Amino acid sequence: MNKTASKIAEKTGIPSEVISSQPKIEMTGTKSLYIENHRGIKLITHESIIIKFSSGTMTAEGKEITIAEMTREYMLLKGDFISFKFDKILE
Amino acid sequence: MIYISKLWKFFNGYVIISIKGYNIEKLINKALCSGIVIRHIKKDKNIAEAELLPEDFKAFAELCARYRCRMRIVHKNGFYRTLLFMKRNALYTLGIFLSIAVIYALSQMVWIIDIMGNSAIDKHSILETCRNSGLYELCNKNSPDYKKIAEELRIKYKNIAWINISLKGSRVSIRLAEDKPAVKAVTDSEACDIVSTAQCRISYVVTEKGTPLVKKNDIVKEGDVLISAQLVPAGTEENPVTDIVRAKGSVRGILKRNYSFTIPYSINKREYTGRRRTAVFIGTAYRKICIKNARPFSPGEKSEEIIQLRLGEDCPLPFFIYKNIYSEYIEKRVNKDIETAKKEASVHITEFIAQNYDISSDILSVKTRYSEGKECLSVNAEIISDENIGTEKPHTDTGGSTINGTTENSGSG
Repeated sequence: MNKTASKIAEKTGIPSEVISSQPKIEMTGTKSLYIENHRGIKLITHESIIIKFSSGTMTAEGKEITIAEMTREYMLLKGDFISFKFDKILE
Repeated sequence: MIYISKLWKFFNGYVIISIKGYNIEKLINKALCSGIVIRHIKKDKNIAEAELLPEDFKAFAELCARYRCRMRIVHKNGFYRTLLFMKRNALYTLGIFLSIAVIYALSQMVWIIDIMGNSAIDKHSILETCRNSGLYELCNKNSPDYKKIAEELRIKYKNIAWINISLKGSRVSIRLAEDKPAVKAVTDSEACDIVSTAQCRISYVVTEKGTPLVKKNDIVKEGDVLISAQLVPAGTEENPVTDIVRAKGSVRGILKRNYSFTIPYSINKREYTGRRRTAVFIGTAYRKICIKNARPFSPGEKSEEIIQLRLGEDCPLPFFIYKNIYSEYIEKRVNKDIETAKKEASVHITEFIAQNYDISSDILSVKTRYSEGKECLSVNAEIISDENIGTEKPHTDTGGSTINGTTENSGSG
């Protein structure tokens, strides 16, 4: 389903996050991270956070990480981010 | 935008909770699926802290119980909570509102009146005029008509060329520019005589311009013309000049002055005991409130000290601390012998000469005569001096007359 949606998005020029559940990640400097289309969190500590997406997970590492706001649609993270790592679910 | 969201959050109210457990992430995910909005989630080890909306609290508490997490309320905040707090602490609320009211009332007053640009006009005189027009320290800043006051000041002081009164906060600035009187240009073409300032015997005459009417050893009265502006031809010139000029020259004369005074043999001298009392008042320039009262000594001396309160160097406040310092003294009778009185008289004469004689004057002699009385020593000093006696006076046709003089130029004496 995801693959088809991505192809349609590619052909029509519509942003892929609109028609598929692919995550959209916006970062402002190293202090703020805005994530859309998430599926919740797997783990949160002061130094790291693991966020679940439909396609896998993302691990963000840093200092004093907090979830400033969290709804079903989006998540706003605050902290001093150092590194990111993406793990894809093998299909 | 952040501020609006914070304000919105404050009006809605929020609860800060602490969650303890091992399935916090799962709990948060479940809460999200249930439509519960969670903010500011922080987690350290197995304790998390988060913000919840009051309406989600009950649902979240049920979820906590299901996921075996312990929840505790850390803090409740919001507009409604604040209102409740204020209702319960009426005195505190009253204090806050009173403080706001006092700050507002104080900000409506004129605290400082600055006057800039005045040199000939006295500052206190301007302040007094302003006071009569309703502008004074601690008056309501909105009540005076500043344009009218500026106009009144301009009418009262004719030498004000420009004036502006502006209000900045609680400070009124009066800025003005004064008319500077045009300096009268003295030209050589202006006809002037040199006249005598005192009755004396001439000791020295040098004429640079004009006709000398006196010579050495002539005796002149006050106001006599010494050097005339009218040029008088000698008769030997080919083209005789009879112009009226500005007389220039130096004329010195020998003057005799008498100075009489008395030195009492015994005087009352104040001896301070060291006892002091201080009365302290606080107030404005027009009103005082007594903080500490003190009774004056009898006999005693009173001295005043005024300290203006200020916030830093550039911000004087319209409040003053007035100190009246009373010092006690004892009057003691001190007797002097004749020699001491004569010495004192000598010092007195020296001081008189230093104060009353010009630096260019030469003191030729001082003859002192003493007459001993019962209670005091009478002193008469005859001071003979050689000094400049010529001063410029606009030329008149009448001229002057000498008592015993001729019209020949004597040169130097």
